Amino acid sequence: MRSRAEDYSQRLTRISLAPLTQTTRGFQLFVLALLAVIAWGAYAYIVQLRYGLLATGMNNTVSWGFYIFNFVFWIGVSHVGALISAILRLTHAGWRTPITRMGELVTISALMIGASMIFIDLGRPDRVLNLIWYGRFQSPLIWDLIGVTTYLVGSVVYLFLPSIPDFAFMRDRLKRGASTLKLKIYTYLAVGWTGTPEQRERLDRASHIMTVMIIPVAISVHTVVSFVFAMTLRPGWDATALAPNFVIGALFSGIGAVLVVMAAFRKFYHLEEYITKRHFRNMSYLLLVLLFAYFYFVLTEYLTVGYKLRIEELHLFTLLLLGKNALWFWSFFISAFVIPVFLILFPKGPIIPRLAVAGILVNAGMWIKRFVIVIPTLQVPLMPFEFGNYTPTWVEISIVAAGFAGFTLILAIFARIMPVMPFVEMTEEAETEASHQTGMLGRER
Amino acid sequence: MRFKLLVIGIAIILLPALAILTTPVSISLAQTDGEPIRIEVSRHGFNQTPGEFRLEVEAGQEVVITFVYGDGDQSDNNPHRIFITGYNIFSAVLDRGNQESTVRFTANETGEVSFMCVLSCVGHDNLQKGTITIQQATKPLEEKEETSSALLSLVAEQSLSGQSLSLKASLRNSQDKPIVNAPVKFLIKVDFFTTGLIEIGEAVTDDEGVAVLEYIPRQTGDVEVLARYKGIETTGLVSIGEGAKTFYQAETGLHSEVSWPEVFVGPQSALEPGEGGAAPVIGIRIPGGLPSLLLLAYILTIIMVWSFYIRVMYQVFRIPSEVARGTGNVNIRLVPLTGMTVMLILVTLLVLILITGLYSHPHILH
Repeated sequence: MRSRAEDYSQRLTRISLAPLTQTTRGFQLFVLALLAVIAWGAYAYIVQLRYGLLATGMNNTVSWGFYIFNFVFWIGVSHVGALISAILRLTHAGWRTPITRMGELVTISALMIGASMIFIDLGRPDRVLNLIWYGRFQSPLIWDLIGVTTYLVGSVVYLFLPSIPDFAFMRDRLKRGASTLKLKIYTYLAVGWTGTPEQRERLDRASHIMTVMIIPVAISVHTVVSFVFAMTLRPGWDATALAPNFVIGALFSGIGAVLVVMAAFRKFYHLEEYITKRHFRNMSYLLLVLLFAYFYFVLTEYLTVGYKLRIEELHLFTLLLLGKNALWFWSFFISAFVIPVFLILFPKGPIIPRLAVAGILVNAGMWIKRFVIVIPTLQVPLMPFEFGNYTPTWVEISIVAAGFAGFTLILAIFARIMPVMPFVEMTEEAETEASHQTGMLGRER
Repeated sequence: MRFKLLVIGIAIILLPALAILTTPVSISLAQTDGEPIRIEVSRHGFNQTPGEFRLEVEAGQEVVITFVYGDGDQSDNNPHRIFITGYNIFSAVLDRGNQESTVRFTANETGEVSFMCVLSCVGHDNLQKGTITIQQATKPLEEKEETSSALLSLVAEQSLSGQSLSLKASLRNSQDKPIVNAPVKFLIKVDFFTTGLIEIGEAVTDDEGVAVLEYIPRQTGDVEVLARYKGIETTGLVSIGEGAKTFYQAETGLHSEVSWPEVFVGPQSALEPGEGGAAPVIGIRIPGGLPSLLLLAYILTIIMVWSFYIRVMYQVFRIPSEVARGTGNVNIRLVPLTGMTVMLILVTLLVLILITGLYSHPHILH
């Protein structure tokens, strides 16, 4: 049994470290393609800086557009780190270990892109300093600033803590002849970890604190994001349950995002042995529960508002269900609810591609949902004016596309500097399991 | 025969007319709300009318009747006392010593009520057929007042932007009497994409017929103010000067009497707008009152969360073992040390944003 465990350990180490040491031509081309999209987005942003928000499709009626609903989308995706890692860790779900790092990486990458959307939305980015100089306690925008900052720092710490043993392993491995810079970086990041019981106790204590802390912080972030909308009297936003609606929606899209990332890393980094069908199946159960929970929130939201149907809500409902935004609304409904349910509940075809497609559709649907939340509400006039119009320009589309490319690139960079699975923790778990089994066999003899 | 028929026919036609002509004069008096009607009471009847005497009023009106003693030309005292049925109202006894008595009641139901003298006086029979006919009101009271050309005048004073201003509208009827409890709307003319009137409030007239609206103007210059009562409007100009404070006071939120001394640390200029109305310089001010409690709770929560972060980083800081400390020239505590420093700076910044922002300035919350 021991030799089997060692084989497992060696194989796991080799596979986990392969992306850190080898660079394939395909990876280089992939990164180049991402950089090209980002460069085009940077050019579009320079155009926006030059001409101001006139370069966008936003106007005095629809004053929030692509950037804000993408901000909400990315903050939503970022929730998954807290869920996968913290909640599953607290509930001692042993199967989670190989996918926790991926969830945490998705969190950090999505938060970085989401936060950048706020700055991009400013026609005068220098005015972001006004948030600091003149930020008002009463403003939900300040709550957002504080919430997102707190969550981003907490997520970085939460990603860093379980990575310390991995960094230490890399440090020790690289001592045998690697570039000085790499060795220095890993030595810094390993913070002198040697795996002594005292160190383990400290790390465990720190991890436990962060596991408990990160859940309410994550919930609070999406709560305050929803407050940016819910604190107004606009149709569609003026809803009591918008905060839990946002939180559940965020977890829903986050699980979908991790399914996609899991499938991609599994495929390209050859992690088939470690990220198994069991992980996908368990994640699909979570996805299904959250799908129904989110459906419940959407149903109650539209039913309670639609039953009363005040005049401004009537306009909004007409726009959404039958009017010019009907295509968006029904696309969201079909993409986020209808097709994923069939893909999860009716197991036709191979499970991993099926669930990866479900994850992509859920995220596409939830991306559209953020459009449905932000834009149509602003199109409904609150004074006797014409209905607003909004069509994103090439500038906005390019910058948002660059955001998606940036998210993927950050993930790719992270995967180059740290293992995408906590392989030290996985090895220790495998060894513990092997020793348990050895003990049981010994007792049987 | 033909002559007889002609006489009978003429008689049939003329008799009612004759009957009308021979019937005692029935005087109908228009009643103005609140205006007393004077009726002379004498041995010859009401207002010298020995037969039926009619008075017409409209439902909803306050009827005020002043009975006046009319037998002063007689040497003997001839006292009268008038009773109004339906309302059970007696006048005072009218005689030489008490020449007038006023009664008032509100005619609340349509129909007829009688009034008569209840004392055995000379000419008693002539004072038994007084009738008050209460008719359906033809127009609402307010409309009637409108048609009776009520006067609305607006008194506005000069003011400064951001300071309270009293707008007074005086409402009087055609007799120059105040109209009480009447709702007067106040509007201002504004330019917002287009020019139009925006209602700024409503006030009810007092006993003097004056409606007063307290209003805090946000703009400067000459502002056209309009007072409206039903169909009647009047306008006036208010000159609003540049206020000392360029920001207006937020009027939202709960008003609470709970307060405690405020905390202020900073230069005096943090309490005033900067040059040209720019934002004030930064100072720390935690006003007394309920909102500060929320702010403090919020700050405490942030500090608590970040304290945990720093505590976690401190655990990482303590990780390096004696063995690992000898790792070349690399400071293995650099990452946790940097982490703790960044966290301290960030949490300080976040808290400072909260306590030095515009919330801390007096024109936002008192």
